Amino acid sequence: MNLERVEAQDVSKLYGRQRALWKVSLAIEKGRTVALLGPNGSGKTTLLDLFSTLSRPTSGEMRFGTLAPKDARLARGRIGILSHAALTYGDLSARENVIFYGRLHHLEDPEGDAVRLLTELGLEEAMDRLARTFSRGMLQRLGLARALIGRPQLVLLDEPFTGLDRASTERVIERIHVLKAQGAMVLMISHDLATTAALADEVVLLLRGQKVAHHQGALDTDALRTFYADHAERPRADPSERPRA
Amino acid sequence: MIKDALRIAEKDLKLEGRSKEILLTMGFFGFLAVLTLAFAFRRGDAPVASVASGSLWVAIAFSGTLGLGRAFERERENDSIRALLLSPVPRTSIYLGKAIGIVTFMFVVELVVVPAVLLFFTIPMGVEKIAWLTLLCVLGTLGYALVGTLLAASLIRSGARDVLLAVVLYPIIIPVIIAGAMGTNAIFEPQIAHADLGTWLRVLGAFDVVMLVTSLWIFEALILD
Amino acid sequence: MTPGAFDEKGPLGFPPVLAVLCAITGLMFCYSLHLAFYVAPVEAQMGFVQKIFYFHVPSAWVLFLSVGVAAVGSVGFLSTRGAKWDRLGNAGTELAIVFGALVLFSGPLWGRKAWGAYWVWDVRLTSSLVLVLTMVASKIVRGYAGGSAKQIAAGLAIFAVINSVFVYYSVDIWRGTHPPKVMGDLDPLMKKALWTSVFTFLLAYVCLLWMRLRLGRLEAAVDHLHMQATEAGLHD
Repeated sequence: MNLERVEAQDVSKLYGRQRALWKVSLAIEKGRTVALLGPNGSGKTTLLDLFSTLSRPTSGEMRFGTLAPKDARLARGRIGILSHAALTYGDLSARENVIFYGRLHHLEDPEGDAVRLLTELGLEEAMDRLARTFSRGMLQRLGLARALIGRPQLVLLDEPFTGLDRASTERVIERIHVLKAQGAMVLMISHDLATTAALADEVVLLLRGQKVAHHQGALDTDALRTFYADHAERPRADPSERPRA
Repeated sequence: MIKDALRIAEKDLKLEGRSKEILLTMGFFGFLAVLTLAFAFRRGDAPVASVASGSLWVAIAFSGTLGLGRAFERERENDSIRALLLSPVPRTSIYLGKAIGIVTFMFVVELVVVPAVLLFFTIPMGVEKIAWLTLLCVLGTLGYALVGTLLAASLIRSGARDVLLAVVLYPIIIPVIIAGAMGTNAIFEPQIAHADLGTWLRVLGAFDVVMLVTSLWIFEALILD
Repeated sequence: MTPGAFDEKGPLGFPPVLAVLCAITGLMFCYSLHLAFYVAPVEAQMGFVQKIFYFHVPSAWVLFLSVGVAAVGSVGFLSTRGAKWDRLGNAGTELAIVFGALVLFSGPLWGRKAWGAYWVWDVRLTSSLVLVLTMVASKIVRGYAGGSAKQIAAGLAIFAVINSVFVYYSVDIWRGTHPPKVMGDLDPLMKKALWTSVFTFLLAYVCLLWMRLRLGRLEAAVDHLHMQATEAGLHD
């Protein structure tokens, strides 16, 4: 199935009394990259989980393409995820890791696709080495290969640049640009303003589970910093409101 | 669906073939458990033979819990369970694939534990007895693994995983322990008590089928948020 | 969270139907006790201690009923993820533990007098023990298992029901013989006392279940209000 647009419609996620997300709406169109910014605990990972179909909203709906909300799980094959953990098996080689996931996606030629992807990401020499022996940068590139083997149309990035050296970061950014050119949708969480500036077409700021600001259009690093600072404190409408306990 | 399950099982077995961590720790622990029980149940200068069957199943249960914990910890460590859940394979394939892996590990460990029991409790065996014992262990291990895989998988994101697994698993596998130990008793008799053995084999068989069906039905609901 | 007809508060802030039911239950208990201790004859073999039977048997039946309720709630919850099913499952689990405790306490006391030892691996008592243990495990899971606690607890309740059949059957075969069923040839007055007792316990169960469900609903309503207050900016 073809996934050309994904949308969170007024979603909330509650854990008992804890409000991880509250009435957030966000649409991602084909070819666009949306960056989620916000302090720890603002709900970014929760929102990403909702877009991954692995979590369901307490209220509101997640729409994946033309699928009915209750059929959201059918979109799974078109979604790829890369987080700060590479989601790979240390005791398998790079090639074996990617082929395994390729087979789970029922690809016709998982071996060929795996070799091609790994070569694109600069891992052709390390292909048969165990993932356990990889450096952090190589591991993340392997993780990206794993995420991309299924040719996802929605790519979720959960702080993938953490701990990466310059060279690896650039390699990953390069590959994501290729994805974008191919029309994929990207939702990314990154604390690093530089990488956000390099990739994002839109920026959304979450604060305590709510969407506080949404900027359509790319921003450079300085503009991002200003954007963040401007909205980081929720403006108080009524100055005589009760002070916090 | 079965093919996907086999692919997942193959991956687990390949991983284990390389690191051998689970097999070694499970196997060694199983052996130690038998030895401890043999020491604990002494009268005079030899362990009491009549507790041999119980000791066998206790050792299997304990090492099984260890294996379950480790197998899922491995998926949790690199969060690969998320990647598995995101792939288009049906959830039941993940369950079956993992269960096949666990059952295989337990069989390998039983290759150590059963001889240990026979040795330390001085149980005379013959070819026919070994055959029946194998069948009994297969059915019992299946029941244990089917329930254990479901429960261990559902606890994968919980805090107190290790102790919670034991808390939830042991009440449910009590029929396996009873049937296993009673069946083993029937085999360890000087003449195999075929009638009794037959009954217990049937109980285990029914348990396996019912638990498999129930687990397949509720696996998806239990593993997601 | 609109209150339903049965939630309408009377003058004491308590649904009047429930209050009346509780009152009736209280009276029934008095009547039951009267029947059990004064009207029913003392049993020939066991003597006065046999009267524990009028508490033990109804408790056991209510235990099984409650496990059934927990299972229904669990299936409902796993199918629909509706909070009210989870509340039903939770209430059933808790009440199963309460009545199970009564069974496991009264059983051995009776056993001591009837068979000479506190625990003789009686089929019914043993299966009840395993059942209660599974219910306790379910409750522990709710407290400590984090995010997916409710689903796991629900799954456990379903397993408990299935498992109890296997445990009962296994212990039955294993034991070979067990104490003869006592229900067949009872003195008519004893029967009356027993059935009254059963009815009383059932009434008590309905009251307790209602109260527990109501409590659950109120807790959910408080959470909801808390959420609204936070949204309105009253506190964080």
